[in-house]
Amino acid sequence: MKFVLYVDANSPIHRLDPRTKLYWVLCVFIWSMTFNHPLYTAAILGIVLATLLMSRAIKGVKFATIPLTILIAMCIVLWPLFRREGTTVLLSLGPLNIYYESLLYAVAVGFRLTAMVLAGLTLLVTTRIEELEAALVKLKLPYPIAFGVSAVFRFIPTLMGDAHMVIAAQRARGVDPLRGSLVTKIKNSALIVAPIFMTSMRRLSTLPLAMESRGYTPTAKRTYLIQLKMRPVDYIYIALSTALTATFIYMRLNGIGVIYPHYI
Amino acid sequence: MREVLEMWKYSRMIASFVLAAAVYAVVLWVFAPLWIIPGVTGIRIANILPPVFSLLFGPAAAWGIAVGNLIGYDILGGALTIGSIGGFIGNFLLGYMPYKIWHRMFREPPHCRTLSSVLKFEFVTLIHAAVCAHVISLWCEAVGFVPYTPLAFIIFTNDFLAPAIAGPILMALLYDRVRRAGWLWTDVMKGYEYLPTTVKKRWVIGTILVTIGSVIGLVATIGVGLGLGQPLFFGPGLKFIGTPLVATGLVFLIIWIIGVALLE
Amino acid sequence: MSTLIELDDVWVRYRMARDYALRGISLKIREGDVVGIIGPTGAGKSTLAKVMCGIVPNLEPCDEFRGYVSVCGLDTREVPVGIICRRCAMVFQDYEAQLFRTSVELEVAFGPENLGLEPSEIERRVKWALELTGLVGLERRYTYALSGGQKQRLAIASVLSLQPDVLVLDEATSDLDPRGKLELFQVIKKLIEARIIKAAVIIDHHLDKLAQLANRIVVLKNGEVIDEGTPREVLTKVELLKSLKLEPPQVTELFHRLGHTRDKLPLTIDEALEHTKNLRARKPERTEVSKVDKVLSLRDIWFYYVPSEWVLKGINLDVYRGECLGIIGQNGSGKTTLANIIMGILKPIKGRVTLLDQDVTEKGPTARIGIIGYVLQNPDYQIFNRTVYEELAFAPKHMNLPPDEVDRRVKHVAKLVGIEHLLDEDPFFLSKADRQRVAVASVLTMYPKILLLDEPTTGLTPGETRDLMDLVMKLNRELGMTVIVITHDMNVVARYCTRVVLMKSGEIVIDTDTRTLFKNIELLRQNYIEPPQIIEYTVRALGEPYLTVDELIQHLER
Repeated sequence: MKFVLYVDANSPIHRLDPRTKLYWVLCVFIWSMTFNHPLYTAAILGIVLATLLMSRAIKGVKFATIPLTILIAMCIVLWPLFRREGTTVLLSLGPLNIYYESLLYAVAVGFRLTAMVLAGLTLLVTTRIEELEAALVKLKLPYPIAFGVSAVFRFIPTLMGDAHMVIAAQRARGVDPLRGSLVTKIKNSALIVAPIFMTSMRRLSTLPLAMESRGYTPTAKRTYLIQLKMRPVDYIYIALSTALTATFIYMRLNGIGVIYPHYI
Repeated sequence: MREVLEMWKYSRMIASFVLAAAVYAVVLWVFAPLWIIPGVTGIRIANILPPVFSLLFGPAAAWGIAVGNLIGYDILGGALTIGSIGGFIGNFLLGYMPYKIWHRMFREPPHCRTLSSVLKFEFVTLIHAAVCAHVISLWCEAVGFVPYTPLAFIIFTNDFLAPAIAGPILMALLYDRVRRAGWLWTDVMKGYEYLPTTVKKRWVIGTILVTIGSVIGLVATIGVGLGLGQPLFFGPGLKFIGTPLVATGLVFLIIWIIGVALLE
Repeated sequence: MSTLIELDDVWVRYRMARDYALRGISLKIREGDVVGIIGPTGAGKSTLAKVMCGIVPNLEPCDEFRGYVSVCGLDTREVPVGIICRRCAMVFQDYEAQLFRTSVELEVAFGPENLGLEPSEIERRVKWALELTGLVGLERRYTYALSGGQKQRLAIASVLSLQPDVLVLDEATSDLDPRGKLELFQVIKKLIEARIIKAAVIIDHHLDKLAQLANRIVVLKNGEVIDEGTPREVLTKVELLKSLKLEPPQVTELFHRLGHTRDKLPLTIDEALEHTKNLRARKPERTEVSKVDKVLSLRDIWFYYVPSEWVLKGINLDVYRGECLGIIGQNGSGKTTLANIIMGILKPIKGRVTLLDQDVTEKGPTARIGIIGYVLQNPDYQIFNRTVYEELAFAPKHMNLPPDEVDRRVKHVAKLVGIEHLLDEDPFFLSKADRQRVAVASVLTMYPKILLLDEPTTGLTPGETRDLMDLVMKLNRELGMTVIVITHDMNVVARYCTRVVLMKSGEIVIDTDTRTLFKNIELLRQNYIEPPQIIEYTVRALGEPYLTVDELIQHLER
């Protein structure tokens, strides 16, 4: 698996302040929820794709193709089954009617989800974890939380290495999480999870000591190496995103871009 | 609820948080799901962990499971969407409910070495799975992401089966060690009770409300989603199922919130 | 010289511990001191280090803490560790857990950030600390992606950036190759000469390297100081050190056994060469490796994790019954991957694995149960049961053996390994050396014919390493068990292995008997492998490698 999504490049998107990018992702989330007509959600997906192309980091996003496809497929299958409203019946399965409108709605939701996933990924492939942490701290997230979350990113690869060794060791002793009945599989897995947990606990028992031995006090004031600075271009992006948000909401309030007016 | 914020003042709780989050994310990745309906629903081995972590690490588990899922599933898996907010809250509750109920209601430690201890463990596991399934699915339905009914079913099986089968095995292996090593959350955060000295009446009422709000709420809302409960709740005249579903879900959510408030 | 740290009659008993970890220690660290602390496992070395930094009693749960510790005038009971560390800061043995930031530069900046320094000053200190530790150019690297040696350098850099008065290193250079270790020791020496750091306290098992840095050595045993003096005074007490299972420099031991008096014992190879007069020895007999009974055979093994990035490139290897084969090579040379292929945990992309004349290439680990036992470098990877007994019984139970057979095997193996007294204990709370014994025992109950050990002695002291390997060789001798050991400890290779395979980037560079390997010091150097002191000494003095001090003495012509 990948432990780091960041793709190193010197694109205009990379150079934006992480706070600007966070705001933009938030805006994309709002935009894509504003409409439920496939043409309009497709347009928003278009904006996201254009931004992603500008970032020159599209190779960092490719891994999401399969999960995204599954997500969209699930949408297109499920929504027509559960949003059973409309005027044009496409298909009648006994008591169940599949409507043309619900299918359109499903496709719109598919675009909506793709836009959101890709917006989130655009942020993650163009921003280092440490920049994101600095941004969140600037936005008043308490430092201990930001610190803790970064540390999780740091430790996942190490513990992943341990986990693979544990699996090797236990398999060599005849514990196979892939054999037997469902219950046996779950029980055998627990026998592998236990040493993974205990190894990790032993490792991390030094963590609080090491943190405090480097001057860390959770409640104390501190300074930061990474200094974020908003540049004029950041303000332009923020203004543009805000203007679009206002426009889209205005359009929606006037009934533009919707299949079902009473649903998000 | 106070402990949920206060824990960030202790570096050892931060270590517990990192441990819970990283191990959850790692186990999420190293075990392929055991499919029940291939491609749709399966058992995630990682879901053995939330009740176990919760009873050991308290609030650090709540944050840990939420962040572990956010990083391991949403971020590194490329599925960061508006649904992730519901996912974060739902997974937070996975780690929050078990310890909260236990330290108010049960005077036997969760060592899972007696039948009564195991039964109590199964009870909190049932609650935590129901709460999580209800909250995430309600959110996803409300924001037009994935319909409630199938999602609630998938999440509930996911979060209940694996810990119900293997949680006690893991707990029996871990409880004494974690206690002896001084990692139990009440050993770090002095002033909190791991087990109640006396069970107050309002805690009992709170637990009952939580049970109604989660388990019965889940069943009822799924029922509405399938169109079963409609005549019962809203009379035969209503055709739409979307809004009544969210309304039903919200009623039970409020019952649950009152229950949690009483557990304070 | 002023006193920086003062310990006065310090007693420590950890939470739920039966015994004291420290018993009445009094010690002074003065300006300009470089103090080496040595002693057997459980002597209280780490506890002493933690006491000096206030971690005990502030952060580690103690049932009892008596006595007085002052760090630059601060009473450690009254000041939090976050403040004490500005005066006295410590680098821990496990480097993984003390690197908790995502990137190298943030890791080093973490301390100065907590001190509340200006960003420009933080930047200056980061640059300075990275330069000192040889990590320049890696600023933006992800911490997890560093090699073990780089991680240890980073752990030291991130404490140096605090610029404490006293630096405490607890086994903080164990993953560095010998050259890297010396380099870092030189850096510390320079910092003390430049008065940037005022004193250092170093816990290390490599007494010969320690001797070149320290000006004072303190010997601990059972929580008490039993000896103290200059390196020369302490390290020449060969009998004392050996009784503590510490390894004095091999040349020191040699000259001691040759009857030289203490004041004339050498500590380094160069000193030893100066002392060498009329040393003559018979040529050691060539130990023939028996190549009759093939138990394991690998033919043209190729493997990758990511397509076309080959980790193993055509490995050919035969293992014969009753031998002790060593596999050496730098990290990343493919040793552990090879072990996983042998165990069937990974399947080769190409090639064939034959075990006792059976083709097992396509079979998983289950097909190897009862034939090969696998012991990993970290015993925690395999141990999880509630008692040692259950741990030993776990695999035979999974083999569906009858209960009385399981019980018989557990008792038999426990006796063989010498852990009968631990059967009812919780293995999680045993010492690392005991846990490693339990790990070996838990594999032995499957009655394997071959034992495969992957870095079994990592993190053990030289004394513990010897005990463990002596046990393995007892199995080899008495049960005729074939042993394959992956290791980077050249003392293990020299002392125990009959044949050695050297790997480099997925290929076997050389496959030969141990003596021939060590003749080729140049080849070893190219692969960053330093032979044991006695081998380098004998090659230079006699033109022939003698693998151990014992071997040389047996062959001496008097």
